[in-house]
Formats: sequence, C-alpha cells, structure tokens
Amino acid sequence: MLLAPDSPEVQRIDAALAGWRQGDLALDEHWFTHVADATNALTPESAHAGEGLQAVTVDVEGLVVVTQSCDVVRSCSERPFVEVSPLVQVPASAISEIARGRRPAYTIVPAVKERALVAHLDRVMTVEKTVLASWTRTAGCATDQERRDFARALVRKRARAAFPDDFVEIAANLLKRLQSKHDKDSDEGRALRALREIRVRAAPSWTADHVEVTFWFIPESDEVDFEGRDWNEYLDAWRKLVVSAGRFTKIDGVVRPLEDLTAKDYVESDPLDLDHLSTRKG
Amino acid sequence: MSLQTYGGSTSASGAMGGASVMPHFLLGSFFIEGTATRRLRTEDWEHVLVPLPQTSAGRTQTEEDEEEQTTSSAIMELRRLSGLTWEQLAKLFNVARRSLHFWASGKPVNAPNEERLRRVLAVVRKADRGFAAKNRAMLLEDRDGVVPFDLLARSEYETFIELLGTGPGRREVKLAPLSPEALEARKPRPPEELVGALQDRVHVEKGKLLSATPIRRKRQE
Repeated sequence: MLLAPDSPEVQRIDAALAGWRQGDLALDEHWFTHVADATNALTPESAHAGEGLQAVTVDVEGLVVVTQSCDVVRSCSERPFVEVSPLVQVPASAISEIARGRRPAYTIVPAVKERALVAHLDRVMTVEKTVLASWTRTAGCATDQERRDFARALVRKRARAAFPDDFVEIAANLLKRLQSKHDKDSDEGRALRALREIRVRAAPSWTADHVEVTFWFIPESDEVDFEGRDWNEYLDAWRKLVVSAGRFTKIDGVVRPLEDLTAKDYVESDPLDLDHLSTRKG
Repeated sequence: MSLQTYGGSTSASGAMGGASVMPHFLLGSFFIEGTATRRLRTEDWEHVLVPLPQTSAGRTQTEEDEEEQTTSSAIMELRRLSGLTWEQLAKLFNVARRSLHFWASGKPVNAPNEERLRRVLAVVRKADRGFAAKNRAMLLEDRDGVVPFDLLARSEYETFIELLGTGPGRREVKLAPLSPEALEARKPRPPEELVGALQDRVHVEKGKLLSATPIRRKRQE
C-alpha cells in the first residue's frame, strides 16, 4: 500500500526518524543485502546463492546510517530512502589503523569501537525510511568531533584525489619513507607526527605534458619551532626522495604552516593521500 | 585542455590528461628571500627546468613582478609575513583598520603611508624568521624594555634592524600558474547554487516491479 504524503503513517515515520543521525546504529539488525552474480561468485556467501543475479542477504554485526543527517530527517514522502553500511568485526590490532585512516574501506563508529566493530564502507544498502523507522536506534557518535570524523571518512572514501600513476611512481620513495618513519620514536618520526597535512600542487595541471610539482608540508600551528630544530633539515631529506622524471620536470617543496600559506596556495593543491601507495602492487 | 588527451593512467583508471606548450626554460632552481632572488646551493636541490614566461618587453615575468609590487600586495605580504592582525597593523601605521582594508583592496594610499609601508615591509623581510608565528613573537617580544613593534610604529627602522639583525628568511618556491582548465576544475560551486539547493523529488518512478524477494532477517543460531 502506497502511503499518502499527508497520511498519519508518514507523520509517524517522520517523527520516528527525527532523532536519527548519520553514524547512528541499528545493532539489532544483523542482515545486509547486496546483488551478486552467483554463477561467478566473489564472496563465500554468494557462492551458495544458486546461479545468475541474486539479491544475497548475509549475516552482519549491525547496520550504520551513512546518509547525511539532513537527508535522514527530510520527510519520507519526498525523500523515501536512506543508505546504511554493515558493521563488521575486525581484529583489535586493526582498530588503530582504521582510526588513523590507514584503511579507508572502513571507519570507526565510536559507540562500538570497544567491541572492534567498524563500518564497512565498501558496501552500502538502500532501505526505505519505513524500514529505518522500525529499527532501534543507538547513537553511533557522541560528540561533534566524532560526527565530523565519521563524515570525513565517508568523504575520503569516495572523493580522495586520484593522482596519475607516473606521479605516484616518482613519489613512491617519499611516501614509503613517510609511512615507515611516521610511527618511529625518532626525530623524523616526531617531525612527521607534527605535520598537520602534506599537500601537492601540479602546474599547469596534472594532465600537462610538462608538470611542475610543489609539495606543501604543513606543520601544526604550534609546531613551527619543532623541538628547536630547523624544519628544513627534514624537508631536504624528504625532498631528495622525489626526483624529477618524465613529465615531471620540476619538483620542489617547502614547509608552510597554515598561517604562512595563502588560501590560493591551499585551494590549488591536493591533499597527499598515502592510501593510494598501499594499493599499488610491487 | 581535455581530460582525454593525456594517455597516462591514474588510480581512477586514467581520468587525467592534457597537453601544454613547452615554454622557455632556464637551468637551475631558485629561492627568494624578500624580493631578492638568489640561486640555490646545488647541494640543496637538483638542477631542474624552470619555465620563465616572457613578457612583451622581452623580460621575464619575474623581473616585472618584482619591480611592480602593488600597494595592495605589499600590505597583504606584510600581514602574512608579520603574522600581525589587521588591528595590530592599523596600530602600527596609526590608521583605522578600515583604511588598511582599503589599501588591501587597491584603493589609493597617500605618499607618506605608501613610503612607510614599503619601509616596514623591507625591514620585516630582512628580519624574517621564516614563519609568521616566529615573526609575530619577534615583533611583540619585550627586549630589555624595547619592543620591536614599537620601533616600527616610531619609524625607527635602523634601530629595528640593529636589534633584530638579519633573519634566516624563508624558502620560497616560484610557482608556475595553473592552467585555466585546472583553475576552473577547482572552482567551488557559487554560493547562490549552494544556498538554493532544492530537495524535492522531480523524477517519476516507473513504478514497474521487476523482482522482489522476502529477506530473512533473523540470525540462524
């Protein structure tokens, strides 16, 4: 039966959803449906689903709402859908990696972090709001910071910059160095942890035949005088790891706190996402 | 520039591409301290090709830019270099904050203020500690009863430099401009589009069900 926009049931659903937010959990819902070609199955579950296209429902640890909060609370008569991702169990050792963004296919949901349950962002299921309204809500995030972190993970999952492969090749040594030294209890490790962000600018564009690349190493604002050391000591070491080759005719880099970086410099550059390197073979 | 013209691949399966015209090149790399450009130590950086756009007069754009820094860019550079707030800069020049905003927006500046601005910028460049935060601390630090900021406010430039000396400066990079296509691609949607987002549904579902399967929701223990 199709509900009329002005029906009491629509009002009841809208009222039920008024408290739901992005990142909220349905911990009593242990099912998730996706579509598979069971003839050529890619998951153990779909391998047992018969043949051809199948809507495969699998057992999961719960569901988390990934739809933006404003869209969740818009009237179901106008916007009837919400998206949810499954909660999955991961080894406790993976939690810190996920929390630090090392595994963008997953993200932390603070309310279930202690249970080593995380959102698996590779999978999204659309449900009508009537279904969500029937679920028991558990707040996934308690603070604005937690909600922002969750939203940022969703953005990163789908919107991180795709660098050209030939750039990744010339930057590979730098990226490996940053990854290997970041957690070390060394001067360089502490310097890396004092960086807020690394951005990279390509002029005239990433797609040009001859590209000039500039790295912006952006320290936290209170790390300008990093342990009394000259940032350029580290910059020189990092810079030498990237050698111009192919289309990339000039490589440069400077340390710039946000206060010293112009807004123009910032918007003309892209955040350097280390995730890309880890997905490459060889 | 078309995204399809470049044959290379990306992590997004080759979505980036394009071509550019080879400009004039100069072998070497540069740092810039203040307005003075000097060649790098070769052990610092490898030799690279630096394109130098030519102007109609046959000189490099760099040369013309350095000679023709506008008052507007000078005040913006001073703000960025010094780390001072607009309020503090207004106090330094003994003008209203609004006046500084006028300067920054390109409005005319009277000759005495223009000269003061250039002199203040010159000595702050000379004393530059490399980061705005360090320069702010340097300017506002009480040194045996003398505050460098006050020296600038009193136009005591020589005393200022005697007190602070020459700073290490900062590493600058000469940035080639982004292509018009790259700039356009980075432009955010205009504000009027963002504030006027429409949320109602304008499409009509076909309403034809192709398949439906009951979902077993209960866990099998």
